[in-house]
Amino acid sequence: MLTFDNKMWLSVDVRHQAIPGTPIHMSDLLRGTLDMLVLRTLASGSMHGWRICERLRDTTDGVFDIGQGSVYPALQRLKLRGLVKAAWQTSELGRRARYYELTGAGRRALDDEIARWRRSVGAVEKVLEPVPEGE
Amino acid sequence: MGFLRGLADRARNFFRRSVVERELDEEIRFHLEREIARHRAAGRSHDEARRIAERAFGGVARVKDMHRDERGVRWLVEFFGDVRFGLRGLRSQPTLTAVALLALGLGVGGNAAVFSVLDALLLRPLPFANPEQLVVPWQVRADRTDRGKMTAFDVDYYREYADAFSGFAGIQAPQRVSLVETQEPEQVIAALVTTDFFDVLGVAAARGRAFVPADEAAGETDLAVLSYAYWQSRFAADPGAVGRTVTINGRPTVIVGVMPASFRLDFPADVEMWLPRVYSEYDLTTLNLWGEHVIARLAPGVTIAQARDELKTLSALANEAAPRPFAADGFSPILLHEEVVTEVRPALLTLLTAVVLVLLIACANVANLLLARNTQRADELALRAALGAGRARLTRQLLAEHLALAGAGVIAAVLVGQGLLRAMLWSAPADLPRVAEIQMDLRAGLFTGAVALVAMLLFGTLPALRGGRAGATAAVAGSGARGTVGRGEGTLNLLVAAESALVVVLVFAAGAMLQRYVELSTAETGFQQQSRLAAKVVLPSNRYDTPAAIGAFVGDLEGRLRRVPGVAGVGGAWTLPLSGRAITVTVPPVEGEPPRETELTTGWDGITPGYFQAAGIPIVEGRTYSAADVATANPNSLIINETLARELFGDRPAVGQFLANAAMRWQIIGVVGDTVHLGLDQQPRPHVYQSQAQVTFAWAHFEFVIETNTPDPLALAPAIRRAVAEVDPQQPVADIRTLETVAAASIHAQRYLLVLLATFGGVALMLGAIGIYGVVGYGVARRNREMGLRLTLGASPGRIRRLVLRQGLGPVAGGVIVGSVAAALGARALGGYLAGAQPSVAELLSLVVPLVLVAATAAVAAPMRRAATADPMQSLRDD
Repeated sequence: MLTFDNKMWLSVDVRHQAIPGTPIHMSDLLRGTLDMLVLRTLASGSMHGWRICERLRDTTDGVFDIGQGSVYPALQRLKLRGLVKAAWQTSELGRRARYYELTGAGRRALDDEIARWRRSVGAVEKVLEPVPEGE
Repeated sequence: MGFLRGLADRARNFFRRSVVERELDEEIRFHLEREIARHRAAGRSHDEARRIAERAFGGVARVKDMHRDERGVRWLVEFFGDVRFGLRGLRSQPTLTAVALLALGLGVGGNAAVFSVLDALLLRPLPFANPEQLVVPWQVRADRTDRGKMTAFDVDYYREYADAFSGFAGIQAPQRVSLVETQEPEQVIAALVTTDFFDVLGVAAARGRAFVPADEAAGETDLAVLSYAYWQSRFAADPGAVGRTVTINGRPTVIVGVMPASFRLDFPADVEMWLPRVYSEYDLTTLNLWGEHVIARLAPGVTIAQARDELKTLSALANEAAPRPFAADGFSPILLHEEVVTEVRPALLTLLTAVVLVLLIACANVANLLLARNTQRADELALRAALGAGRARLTRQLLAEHLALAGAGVIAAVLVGQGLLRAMLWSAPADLPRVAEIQMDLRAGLFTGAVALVAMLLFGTLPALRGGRAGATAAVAGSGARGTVGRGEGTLNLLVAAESALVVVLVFAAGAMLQRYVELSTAETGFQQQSRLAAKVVLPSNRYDTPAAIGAFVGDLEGRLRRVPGVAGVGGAWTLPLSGRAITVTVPPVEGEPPRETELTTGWDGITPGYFQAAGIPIVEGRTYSAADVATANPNSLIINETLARELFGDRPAVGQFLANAAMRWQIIGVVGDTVHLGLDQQPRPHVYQSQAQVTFAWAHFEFVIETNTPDPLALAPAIRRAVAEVDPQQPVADIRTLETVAAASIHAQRYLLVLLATFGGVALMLGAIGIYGVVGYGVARRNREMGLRLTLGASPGRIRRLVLRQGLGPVAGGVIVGSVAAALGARALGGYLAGAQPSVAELLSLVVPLVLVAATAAVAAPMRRAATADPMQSLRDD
């Protein structure tokens, strides 16, 4: 369902490795990656957009702290594909907020994506093995 | 499921755009507030917290834009925006829009209307079970060119023995019968059909039942089946009508059923009621009365050729056993559908050709206008392209605009088509078959609409895009395409030429039809029409079954009619000239001469002595009948027309000659002027008139011709009805009409075709003129600077006018030449189509070509004036 372009993956990865700790703008992520991250975050339960961003930031030690707005188009995209559903609810602070939740299809898509991601990362890692000197 | 939910989401995203936007705003606001609150909690100032939050979020406007992209309806939203934009553009160019809509409406609508008629009449199968098995087995004879009906004996015999058929039903020509329920007698058009008629057609009654052979076997034949329309109009669709007993032709008759609304049989003609026809001993033994139409159903798997051969074999067998007079030599079975539509086919195909030409002209016109407009707006498109509008975006916009035009055109076409169809049906000849089945055919509308759309895309959208791309830099540089001959010019001229050619062909066709019509309506009819009436009387065979009874009725009626004030003369005949009907027989040999090599066929009428005077048919030689020509006289007397006299005797006098066969001898006592029976487009044929008093069988169909001396002969109609009622109170009289009406009715079909063709020709001429005006006007506007320059450099306005005229009419002249050649070549083929018209090509073209050129010149006149009065300074300043 989601497709990966290895070249782009490299660029993301390389940047990450090059300057550890520097935040990565989320709109620089490939769509598929952001979608997967959003799905994964929602796997722990229903939450609103800001909470998704908070989780992402906290889990990645602040790497995904900028370009939070990209989450909303991503949620719209996932919603149209039937992977998440949305409902307005009252938030923990008494404000109205839109809560997103994984659908069954979303759960299955997430498993697929993770498997593919792992395969893809494994392959990329092999390419990125340190080059033996003298060759 | 996911797909469905996505669909629902998409629909919401599209239809509730403002709600979706508001929700996104709220979501983003909520996000930012939470984020600000977080930073505030970390001890930052409000401003600082807001700045950090907004930076982490990324541009709000950009996110919203990305969000809109994700909603999956962006193209749709933009498309409707484009359509709105396009509609605005159309409104701002009212002339172009009106002309394009007119062209599309007439072209597409006209096609839809004509195709609807064509489809209902020619293409759709007849509303019977397995209609492809139904045939009409006409008899043919080697010595005759016309087709013959059958005798009752034939029907009975072939039904019994012909294995090629699974059914064989006889139908007598529809006649008027009198129906009495409680009050006045009224006339109903009824067909007498054999009891297997409905079985053969395979149609069941909508209410009650149809009669069946079992009724005949049980001896119950005083039954009637009503048509749906008659049941509705006469019985107000009362379900209780079925089972009621009424008096038909003096006999108590039970109405057993009503046929479905879709049941209509135009062979031999449409009727209101069906009555069972039971062959009497007299019917089955009278072997020279060919009065039976036949509809037969082929047995499964049997071909028409096999059926024909079997009939031929059976006919020969019967003739060997007992020779019959004038037995058939062969048969020509024809599909019932063919039989019904044969006459209208050429006219319909002519009309279809005409509307297709109109459609082509309309397409060329719309294409012209769009091309011209595109070049006008090339600057606009180029500028927008330069400002960064993507090619796809521009394409979509143009497409949307042209779709808006096409959509409006289709609406116009539906309106025009409906109107035209209604007008066509309203004015259609009464005997147009299957007329009730005709309704607007949407497929035709869609198809022709699609053709128009393709033309628009081909000539409107594509060139505009090409031009837009090429002209981008030029437009920005500010030196548009003005002043030089543009790339669109060649195509435009070609379109104008094509249009002119098509216009010439159409106007030529309309002219040919007009010529034909004038020829027919002024043709010599051979009888007088003024101040004369015809009244049809058909005596029911159950009460008038002998020549004597019929003779008594006729004599009594004529006597009473003569005494009606205002009546100057009365005579009766079996058929009227121009009625489209004639009874034909073979002429006996001339006595004392060797028999002719081929038998001669002649029309045959029984008449009363006053007929020639009443109808104004001149007696050329000899005398008419008198009281002396009684039944017992030997030899019988005979009056023949001039054509037959010439055929039999050349220049020798005919009066006094004898005709004779083995059984009878006739003396020719008079020769009268020719009339035509089958229609004004026919040559006069031989005709014999026999005295009704000497007719030896019970023929009971009469047309009484009444010569009056009043200016308004129809005012005598009530008196005529009274006279008939005095002779026989149960006897209805039908169709009292003037002989002028009879003559006009005989060319109604041609007039109808003429009006339609003339309409299409006129429309074509108008569309063509508009197209030329648009193209030339556009060219002049574009070359304003050039004209101004020429004027400044000393060209006289006259010279400019000539230039514009030459360039405007050039392609027209080319088109006219091509069109004339096409018309001349097509004239012969066209002649057959146009109901026998043989246009004199040169004469017509000498009228059509100037007409088209005058129209074209008129179209060029206004732009020509504009060019010649162009203000040189103004046109130079334009840049």
